[in-house]
Order: sequence, then structure tokens, then C-alpha cells
Amino acid sequence: MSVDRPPDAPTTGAAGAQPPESGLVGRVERRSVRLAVQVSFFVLFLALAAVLSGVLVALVGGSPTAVLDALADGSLRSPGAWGRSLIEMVPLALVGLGVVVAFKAGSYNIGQEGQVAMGALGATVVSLLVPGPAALIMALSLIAAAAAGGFWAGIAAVAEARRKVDVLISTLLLTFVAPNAILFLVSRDYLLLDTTEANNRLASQSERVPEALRLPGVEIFGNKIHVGVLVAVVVTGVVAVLLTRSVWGLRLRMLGFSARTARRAGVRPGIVGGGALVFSGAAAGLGGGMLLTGAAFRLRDQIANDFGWHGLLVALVARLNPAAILPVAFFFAVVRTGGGFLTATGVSRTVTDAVQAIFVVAALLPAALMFVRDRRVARRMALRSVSAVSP
Amino acid sequence: MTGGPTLELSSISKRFGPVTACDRVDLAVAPGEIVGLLGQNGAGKSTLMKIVLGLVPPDAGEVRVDGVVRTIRDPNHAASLGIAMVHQHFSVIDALTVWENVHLGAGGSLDPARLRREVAELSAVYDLVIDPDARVGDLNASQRQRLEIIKCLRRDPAVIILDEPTSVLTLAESRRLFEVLRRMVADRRRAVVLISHKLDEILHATDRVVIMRDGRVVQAMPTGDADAAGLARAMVGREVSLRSEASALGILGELTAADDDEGRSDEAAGGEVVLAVRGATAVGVDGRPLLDGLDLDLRAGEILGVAGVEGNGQVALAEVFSSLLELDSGEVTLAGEAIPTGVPGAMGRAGVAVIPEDRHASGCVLDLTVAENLVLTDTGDVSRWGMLNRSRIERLARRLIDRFEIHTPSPNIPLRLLSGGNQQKVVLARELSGAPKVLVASQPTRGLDVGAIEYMNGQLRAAADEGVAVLLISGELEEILDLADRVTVIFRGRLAGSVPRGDVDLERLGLMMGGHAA
Repeated sequence: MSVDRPPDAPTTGAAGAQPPESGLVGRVERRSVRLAVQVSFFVLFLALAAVLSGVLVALVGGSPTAVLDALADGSLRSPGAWGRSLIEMVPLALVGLGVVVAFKAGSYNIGQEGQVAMGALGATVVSLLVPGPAALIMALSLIAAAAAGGFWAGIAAVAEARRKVDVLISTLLLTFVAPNAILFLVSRDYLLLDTTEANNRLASQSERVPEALRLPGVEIFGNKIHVGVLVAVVVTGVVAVLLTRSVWGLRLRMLGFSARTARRAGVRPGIVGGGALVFSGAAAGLGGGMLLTGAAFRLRDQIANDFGWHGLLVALVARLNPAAILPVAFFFAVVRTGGGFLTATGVSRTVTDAVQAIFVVAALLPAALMFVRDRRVARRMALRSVSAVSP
Repeated sequence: MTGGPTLELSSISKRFGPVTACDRVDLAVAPGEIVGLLGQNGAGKSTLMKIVLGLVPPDAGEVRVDGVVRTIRDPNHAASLGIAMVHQHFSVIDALTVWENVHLGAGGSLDPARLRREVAELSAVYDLVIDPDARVGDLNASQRQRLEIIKCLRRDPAVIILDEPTSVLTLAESRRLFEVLRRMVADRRRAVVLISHKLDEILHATDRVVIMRDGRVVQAMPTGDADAAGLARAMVGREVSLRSEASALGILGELTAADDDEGRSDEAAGGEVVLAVRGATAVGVDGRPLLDGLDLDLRAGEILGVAGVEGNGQVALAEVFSSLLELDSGEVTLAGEAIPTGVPGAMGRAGVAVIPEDRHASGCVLDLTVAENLVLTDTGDVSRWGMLNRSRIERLARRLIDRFEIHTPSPNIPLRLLSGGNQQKVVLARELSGAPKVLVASQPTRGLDVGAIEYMNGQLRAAADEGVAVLLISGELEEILDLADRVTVIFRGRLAGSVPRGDVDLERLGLMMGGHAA
């Protein structure tokens, strides 16, 4: 991903100098004020991203307005477009949710790209090789997807518990193993290679998942969405509640904030922290499974297609707040589908990638600025309360 | 002595707010001599040396180097004047080799061959065995200290200050260090200031001794005229003055000491042993011993005070009770049942409550709310089917907030926003709310203001009166004398035999803290 694009660098300084924002910082922090600041940051950066994208397209000889039109058409405006965006949101939200859980526990799992791919593999194996009634196999394929993703992250969890291997490193490196393992499997005709007439053993990919085993869906105003959208919404809601309201959530957050205190209080890092890591892998794996049986239908080595990386960014932009995961994931989905449509209109792939990246950076910057701003506010409040509260 | 003193401090004073760290301190060290600077924690030794190094500007007084009055700006300036310090805590980089670290300490152009040769030469001359190409991460504590000394010697300083150099060394290693020191002084007529609170070291390794207490030099004499008993007395304060201080500060302590004779003494004598530790031994990651066959008996309803100079195993002892440290050998039993060490939560479940020394790292979670911190260790009463009951948590929190007089605008704000004293009250409230059998309080009043200290001490006393066995680990001797029913001393990972508070002989206590006689 080309996140660190030089054209975006000056925008940080420009926003930091905005007088309205810095004026608000000084006052007592209210939730509405905070939200207003956040939204205005967001709008500001999106506008900047739109302008920058237009400039970029104009530079390579395209029409800026046509490109922005295409972006909007592809993601939201044209018939069926927002349905596509919602489907695109599913893996992003599930991956992001897993990241929230792992990071809150202090397990820095960044291997979601590989875990998504392994999830897709799990779903493929069950869908193509296990016989049985369609509904059962469909459910089984998703369970297998979660299990495969969880297993992939579990390797890192075991390595950490047994040998203190850094999770950040192990999950990252496992990410590069996953597509190669899949490539091996989908290139062997005795394994998963599509040997049907149409493919003629040319492309390294699996057969398509039969219609009966694909995620069922509905059509609303010409937008096709599948049951995965519902699953993503429900899972996100449940996890958000569990994180703040359950004993498990409390112990998990305790571990993330202060490992020593947690240990004293009886939290076993291998179980709670490792469990969070496995859960995050399973969430990413489930996302990968739904990607396969709900959208891609056949397994390739590049099946994960940046869903893992973008899901990681979703969690960071949401500032690890599970309630913010769905809207942020939807925004990323819109950027992705819009960018895809843009390519279809004939704009060069490199340019559309750059445009996508600009929007991603625009989404990240407000979160980063809010972080800096919150710390400043917190420090000020802490100072004030120390003088007010001390005995 | 040839010539005048190389380094001379006259009438140095330094105040930090209401605390006087140094009060008109005079200190001189001449070429070819080792001066011992003796004192308890907080006596002002460190501040004085920070002034010499230019880390802290003095409020008053003069620093003379070779007879010239100097205003030392920073450690580099001090180094250029020929003053170097070997700090108690190593400042080396694990990932680099020995000669690379030596280069980092000095700067200048990078010439590996020359650096290797210099390190090898210094190590040969002073018998400081070290491999220039060894990775520092692979060295043990003693070797790291040799590296620090080599870093210091390479600048060829006239004055070398060593801050508690033996706190990380074994006895044999300490002896070797002092041989090296003697050679450094004899060789080049260097001047050495040895900061220590260990009486043996001072007696064996120095030519003169200066004793500081409460920021003042209370005594200075040739080491030949000193004896351990006299030094101990001077270090902890004369018996008379300390007694009067104790009664002035804590009437409570005197009163309970009087109570002792009637109510408590037979209770303490007859009170059953609740917590027993036998042969506790643990070794740190860097290979130095943390606990060395420590034995401990703690009875119901008593406060056992563990005195001692920092770095003698207090932290490790408290960590054992927090389930943070696993013993290599030995066992901990509570009411006759062995508790596994190092198993998360095992001590807490068995009924051992802990007020840890580093409350921010292992006592509470600053980012969670006050209420959440109050139920951190035991969610059994406030949860059902694994879900927390918010209203029950809040009710429990409000009850504890009232009972322990925690000043907070709401139970639902992050703990971070509370003052240190109130954070400590939250820890105390939570630990006592679980009806523990044992309460381990490690430096419970460190960093608190006077009001909070008084409150904390009152609570410890009250807990003991209710039958909790209290282990008070503290660097504040007054606190221990004020509160404890029995007093013992920790030295090099071991406890000396305990004595009842009434029989405490301060001179002997001072000797034990210095490891002189146990």
C-alpha cells in the first residue's frame, strides 16, 4: 500500500493550524464537542482527498469530475452499488473486530491478511470436498473458515506462550506463508486445482463453490446483499457488549493495560491473551470464509486481496472502538468498490490505486489527530483534577 | 596527603520544595584516598553527587575542583574537569559489544582496533576481566559493572564516584571490586568517593568515612577510628533523638507499643502462624540472586516489619506474594497449605492481599475506572453468567469509596485522574475488601503526602487488629518502628531473626541493615 504519499504530508500541518479546533481544546471536553471535532476533521480530509485525487487524475490527462463521478457511481449511486459495498464491508468489519479484541488484550496481531486467506481455504475445502446437505455444509464451511483463521493465529499464540516469540513478528511472517501454501494447493490437480473444461488447468485456482453452497441473500431495491452482512452486524454488536460488560472483557482489557496487575489478579496471559489472538484470527478467518462463499466463490492465492491490511486500518481508524467498526468498515468498502469501478471505466490501475490510497490516508489522519488531541485534553484534565481532587 | 583536596564541596545546600535534601554539606576528597559516603536512603547522598555531576544545581555552596571554584553545568562538563561516576543502574546497550559501548560512552572518532586495544589494556592493568567483543546482553551483572568501570577509567578521571557499586554483586565479586578500587587509587593517585550503606564495605574499603543523615553530615572521621556500632548509630540516628522523633511523629506507635504489654503481646505470642516461607530462593534473569534461602513466619493479628536497605530482595519478596515471581526452590504455605508460586492469581485466591510497591504497574490499572479497579481481582459477587452487573459494581464501589474515604467525583472516571494517595486507597480498599488472611504492604507510603501516610498506617494497624497478618516491607525505619509488633531485617535476600518492637536495639538494627551482624 502506498500510504505515505508525499502530496498528503502538508495537509497535516494545515489542519493542525485550524484556529476553531485548537480553540475548542481548551474548554471542558464534552462528548458532543468531541464528535463535532471528529466529524469536521473527517469532512475536511475527505474534501482534501477528493481535490488531490482530482489533481492527480488531471495530471495524467483524465477528467477529475468524471473520475469522482465514477467513484460515487461505483460505490453508492448506481443500481446495486451500495449492496456491493455492504458485501465488501463484511470481511473488513470482521477483520477489524478481531483486531480490536487482540489489540485490547495487548496481542499485536497484524497477520490478518494471512488469516483471511486461511479462512477462505478452510471454507473452500469444506465446500468442495465434504458431501452433505447444503445448509449443513454452508454452516460447516464458515465454521471451518473461522477455525482455519484461528489456527493460523494460534500458531503465533502458542509460540508466544511457549517461547516468548513476539506476536507482531510471528503473525506478520505467517502472513507471507499463507498465500504460498494456497498457491501450492490450487496448482495441484490432485488437490484443489480447477480441472474443469473451462479452466483447462491453466489458472491456479480452485473450482467455483456450487450455487447451493453460496451464502443466501436478499435483494433490496436492486441491491443484492447476503446473510453475511447480518452476521457481521450481530457479531460486532455482541463483541462490543462483551468487551465492556463481561468478566472476560474486563480481564482482557486489564491484561492489555497492565500485564503485571492482570497476573496478580489471576489472569493467565497464555489463556486470555492467547485466546484473544486466536479469536482475532478466527474473526479474520470467518471474514475470509464469507469472502469466498459470498463474493469470490473460488480460491486463488491472492484471495485475501488486501482485506486483511484494510481491516487492520479499519480498527485503527475506529480507534479500537467496536461501535465505530461498522461505519468505518463501510467507508473503506465504499473506497474499495469505488476504486474497482474506476478501473473498469478505463483509468489506469496505478492511478486508481493511488486514489484509493489517498482516501485511506484521509480516513487515517483524523484518527491520528484525534489521538494527539485527546492526549492533550486528558493531560489538561488530569492536571486540573489533581488540584481539585487531592485530599 | 599531597597537595590539597582534588574535589572539595563546601556548605552545599539544596531544597526540593519543603524537603531539604542537602543542608550545608562539606565534603572533600584528596588524591590517593577513598572516601566512604554512608547514609540511609534519602539521607542526601544521591543529591549531593548529582550536584557534583552538574545534574542538579545547588541552592548554595561552592564546588571546587583542584582549588578552583566551578559551576558544573552537566555530566560532560564534569567529565572534562576529571570527575566521573559509575552509576548504580547501568547505562549500557545490550545489543552492542563491549568496545562499542565504551565508544558510545566517550564519543570521538570510531576506531575499533584502538578501542579493542584500550579495553584490553585497561582490563589487564586493573584485572577487570572482560572480552572486548562480547555482546553486553550476554554479560552478567558483575561483568556489566566492569564495563561501566572501564568506560569511566578510559577518560582517565581524577575523581571517581561509585554509587552503591555492590548492590548487584555477590560477596566475592564485591571483594574483587574493592581490590580493583585500591589499585586504581594507588596507581594514579586518583580520588574515589564510595557511596554505600553497607558498613562492612565502608570499614574495609575506605580511608575516611563521611556519614550523612537527613541531608546533613553528622560525622566524618578516618575509617581507622570508626567501628561498626558507631557507624550504625550515626547512620540511623542516635537512640535518644530517634525515640523522641518517633513519639513526636507517631504517638500512635508509642501507644500501641504500650498496648503490646497487655492485649497484643499474648496474642502475638499465641497467635498462630498464618503465613510461612521456607528456604525461598530465586535468581534474577541476569543471574544474580534475588532471594537466598529466605525464611519467614507471620502470625495472625501482628504486623511484622521488614526493614533493610533497598535492593536486598524486598522487591522480589513482594513479587512472590503477587504471584509475579516463581521460586526456584523453597515454599510458601498459608495456614499449612502450600501455595504454588508464580501461578497467576494463586496468592490472591489463597487469601494473600498485596499493596505493591509499584502500584501503577501491578496494583491497579490507570486506564480502567475507579469502580472497575475496585473489583479487579474478584468479580464473583458482581457478575452472573460471566456478565458484569454494572449497578452492583457501582453499589460496591460507592460503599468502598465511602468506607475508605476515597476522594473521587464519581466511581466511573478513569483511575488515572485521581491523586496518588487516592489511587493507593483504591488499591487498599480492593485488597482489604476480599477479607484476606494476609496483607503484604510493600513501601505502602512511598510518594504519598503526610495525610495519606497517616491514613495508610492507620489502616494497616486496623487490619492487624482485626486479625489479618500484616507484612510491612519498608525502607522507612520510622514507619516500621511506628507500626510493627516485630521487626526483622532483610539483607542479601535473607531475613535476620526477628525481635519484638519493644526490644529493638537501634544500634543492632543498623548493624543488621549494613549486613554486619545478623
